[in-house]
Amino acid sequence: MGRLVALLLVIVGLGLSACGAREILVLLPDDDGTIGALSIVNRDGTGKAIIMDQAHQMMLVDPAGSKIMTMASAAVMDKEFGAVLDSLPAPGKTFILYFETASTRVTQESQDALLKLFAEVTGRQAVEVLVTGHTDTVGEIGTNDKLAKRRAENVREMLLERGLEASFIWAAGRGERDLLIPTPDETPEPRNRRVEVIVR
Amino acid sequence: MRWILAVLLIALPVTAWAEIGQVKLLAGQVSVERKAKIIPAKKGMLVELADVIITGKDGRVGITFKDNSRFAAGPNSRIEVTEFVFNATTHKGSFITKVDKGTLAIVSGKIAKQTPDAMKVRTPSSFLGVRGTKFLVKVGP
Repeated sequence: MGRLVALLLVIVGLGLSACGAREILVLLPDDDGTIGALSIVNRDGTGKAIIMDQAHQMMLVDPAGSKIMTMASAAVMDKEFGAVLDSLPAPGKTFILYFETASTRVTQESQDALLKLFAEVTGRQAVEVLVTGHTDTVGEIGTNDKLAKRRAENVREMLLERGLEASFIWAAGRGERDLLIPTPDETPEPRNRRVEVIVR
Repeated sequence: MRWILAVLLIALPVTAWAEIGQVKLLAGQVSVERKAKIIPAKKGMLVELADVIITGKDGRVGITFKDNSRFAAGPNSRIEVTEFVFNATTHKGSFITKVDKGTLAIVSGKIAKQTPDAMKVRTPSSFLGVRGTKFLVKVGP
């Protein structure tokens, strides 16, 4: 309680509101509602880390460098961050294409998704496509890295054929590092043999 | 510092792209300082390492990065991407942004997801390690 009073006195004494602060940090909930965290130290990397891990938690730094933790009101959010929040690009749209075993051929079942992907990329301005290939756990890691990359490159080629500019398509393979369905090693799993495409 | 160097050495061969992101939307006065030249920003323009994003009093800009992180600068800002290393296979890397003034909104991407604190933001007073994902920074005049 004594500390709280002291803190309030410090705030009143410095006349420190969000408007008077030299710097403001605010942690927001993610789009899916989960809360991340920030760890804050001095500019030169020294000092004990302060952790921010609550939604709308706000840190104010006064001109002398003192840090005060509080909560951001809707009014502060609007006034200080309205313009910048409006300018955040929308999250990309994700498409998943599945592949035949040990092959760079898209399955029959994924042909629909492929057509939807083509429609999405041709209907956008300043479009950028991130293509990431994956495999299941059958085979050596090195072989799967190559297969994953080839799957991604195959999708990239198809997008290039539809007139998309090469510098805006980025293809990479992750091999068996990022399984959609977790399995033991050497397990055939059709849902892991995939390419994830983010269009943004 | 030593581990940053180590990451650079391991990751550089696979991240030889000069482009690290793309301007997705903008309004008002927005320019990019690149190799001591000021270039007006345009929608679709590719962003390179060490670019400084500069906005005027009505300027704002939204940028997406190769690790799928998203970023916006509000009016009267000066923000520099000082380090961007991303291995698209392992998702290891580092992403450091310096805010000299203005407002910045970030939704972190694959770099921060793979390695907490690999994404950092430097302000005049502080050094922030990002453990996910959406946050705001304002640096006053």
